[in-house]
Amino acid sequence: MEMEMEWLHPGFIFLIGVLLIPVLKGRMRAAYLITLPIIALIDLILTTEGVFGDIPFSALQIKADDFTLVFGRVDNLSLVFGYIFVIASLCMIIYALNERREGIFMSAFIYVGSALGVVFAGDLISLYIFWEIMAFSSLFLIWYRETEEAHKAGFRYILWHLFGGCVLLAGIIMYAQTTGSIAFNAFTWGIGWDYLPSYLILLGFSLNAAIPPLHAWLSDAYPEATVAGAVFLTAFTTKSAIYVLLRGFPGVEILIWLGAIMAIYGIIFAVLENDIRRLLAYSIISQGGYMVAGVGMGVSGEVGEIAVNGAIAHAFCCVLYMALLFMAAGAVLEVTGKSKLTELGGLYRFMPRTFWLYMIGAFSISGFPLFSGFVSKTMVVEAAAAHGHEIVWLLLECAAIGTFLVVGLKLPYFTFFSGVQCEAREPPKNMLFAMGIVAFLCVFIGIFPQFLYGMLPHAVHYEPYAPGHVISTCDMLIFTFVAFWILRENLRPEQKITLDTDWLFRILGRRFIWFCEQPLITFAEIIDGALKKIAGFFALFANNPAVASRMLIALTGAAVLRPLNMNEKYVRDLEQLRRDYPEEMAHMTRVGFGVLLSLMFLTLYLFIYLSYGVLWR
Amino acid sequence: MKTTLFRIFYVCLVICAIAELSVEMHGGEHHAFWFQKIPLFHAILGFVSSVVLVLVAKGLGHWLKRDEDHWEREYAKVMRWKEEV
Repeated sequence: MEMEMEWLHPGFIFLIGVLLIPVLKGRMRAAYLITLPIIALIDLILTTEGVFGDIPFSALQIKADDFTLVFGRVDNLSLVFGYIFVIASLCMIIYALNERREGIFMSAFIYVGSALGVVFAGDLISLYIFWEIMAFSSLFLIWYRETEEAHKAGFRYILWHLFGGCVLLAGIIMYAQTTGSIAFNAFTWGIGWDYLPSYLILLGFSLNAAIPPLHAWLSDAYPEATVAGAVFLTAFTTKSAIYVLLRGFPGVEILIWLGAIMAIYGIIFAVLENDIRRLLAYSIISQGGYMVAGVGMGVSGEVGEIAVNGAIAHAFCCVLYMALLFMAAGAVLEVTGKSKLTELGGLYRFMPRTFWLYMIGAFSISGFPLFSGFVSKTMVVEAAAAHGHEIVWLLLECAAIGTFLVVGLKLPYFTFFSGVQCEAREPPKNMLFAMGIVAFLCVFIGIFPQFLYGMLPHAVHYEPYAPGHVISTCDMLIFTFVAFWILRENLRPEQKITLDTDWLFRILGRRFIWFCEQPLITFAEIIDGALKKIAGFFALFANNPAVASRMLIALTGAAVLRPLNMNEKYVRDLEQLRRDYPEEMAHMTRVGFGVLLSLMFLTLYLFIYLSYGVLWR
Repeated sequence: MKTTLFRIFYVCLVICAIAELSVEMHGGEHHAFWFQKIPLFHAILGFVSSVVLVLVAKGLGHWLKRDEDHWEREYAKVMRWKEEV
């Protein structure tokens, strides 16, 4: 591979670094695991913008000049995502250090490395390859939980992603066919069959972005993952999907609406949920809605710039606070072994530090002033106002309120205070330390948003801390608390589960398998039997034409006249024939059948061979 | 302890409401939509949409919520179906 000397792909640091993990043990391994993301971070800081590591795709004979694999497209968009992925992976690895099974670290490293591969990919083929590696490596973060439920959820997870991957690949191939290029830039968009490749690619991307109804893999599988694995899962799949949407489909209007619906959809299901990690998984979907809406509003011009900036900034903040929330929920699961709100309660006495760290994440996701969500979420909401989308604006504000209601109030209230009183202790030190770093980053970005704004691709003219804005946000959230306090008994969790589109794979999938096993196989057997009979007839005909024709007449007569009950003569004739010529009957299925089939195929082949160039080309 | 907390909270509520009203009166905020001009709009939005969300979720819950062993029973149903046919 020709890689230019001045650039080292940060993803390859992870992907190659994986090889040493199984050899190392104990403190050596811990030191190694922390060092790799730090090296990747330094590598990113030293990187200059440009295009690196491109390989011409001359292996393909057709249009070889246009096909080039680009592993390193480094610009201000891919760099932001590169930074947040590497920073997040560092914190997550510290959180996972008390994990003994090295397989978790290996799959996590491959996962992070391939996500970085997606972010820096400049062409669709390498994008697709990293996309699939991401799906398969993340699967092991779920399976390492080693429970029956995790095993099944993992299968559903990979089925969803394989479906998305197939659709994406189909789109990419069609796109390469029609345009003659595999470069990954904004796709053309419009209505009609000509845009089918774009539609398919968008569908593949949307599945990873968890846009309803293609979101069920997330809320189904993430809560079943290992404690550390779930933390890794929160960041990379959905945010890399946001990145590719930003790159490929900025300003596509349908995404505005999908995003707004997604934000509300996620939060309504979060209200209904009982499992703490599933509740947070639904809020990932909801938060993704802001970014998807931001992508949809990203038309060219100043209004589009604020939307694109908002989507990127929100993705950046979301990675951090979502990781923090999953870390805290994972800590609760780790020490109590429970994750259902109905089984938890009164944990504040035992885990005050975890509680306060969780609350920093909760304040950030709710968009409280001085926390990270406030400086990013409001950019997307502001963009909706600038676009004049009142309904979208209202839906997004509603989702923000719902987020505070569920993640900021319901979850901590029923986990750390009200409900069953259970025993616990603080989680291991490395977990607390990792949560501390992420919490610090959330507050730091909230107080000094310039740090984040400076990294965004467009200049930011937005001032989050305008007095009117701060006051109106505080007002909104504090009255949400009032509503929560009044309605808190209505929000009390129940020992129930909620139906969602995972029904598709759970029930429809099973029915489909049943359909294949029963009616489809029966149908195939009928066809098979009929074909054998026909072939048998021809074999018999070649052997003994007289008997064969009598057979045919007797068979047809017996079958046609059966409804009229006048077929006795033919039935008797048929029995007579079967008695008289048992050997001819045996011929039907032995040699004759095989010979006839091969003859038929040879004739077909001959026909195709001779007619090629005449009838078709 | 609890009552003091609540008193502090009520004071906060009133301060926030007054702050929003005063900002609105001085025209401190840029309004994109007509409904943002309603006095105390954000407070009302916060309260009302929480209530609406909870009610909508409750309503949907009646329709979508199932017992925890729902899937096992559904799988068993599909299996039975298989055997019958």
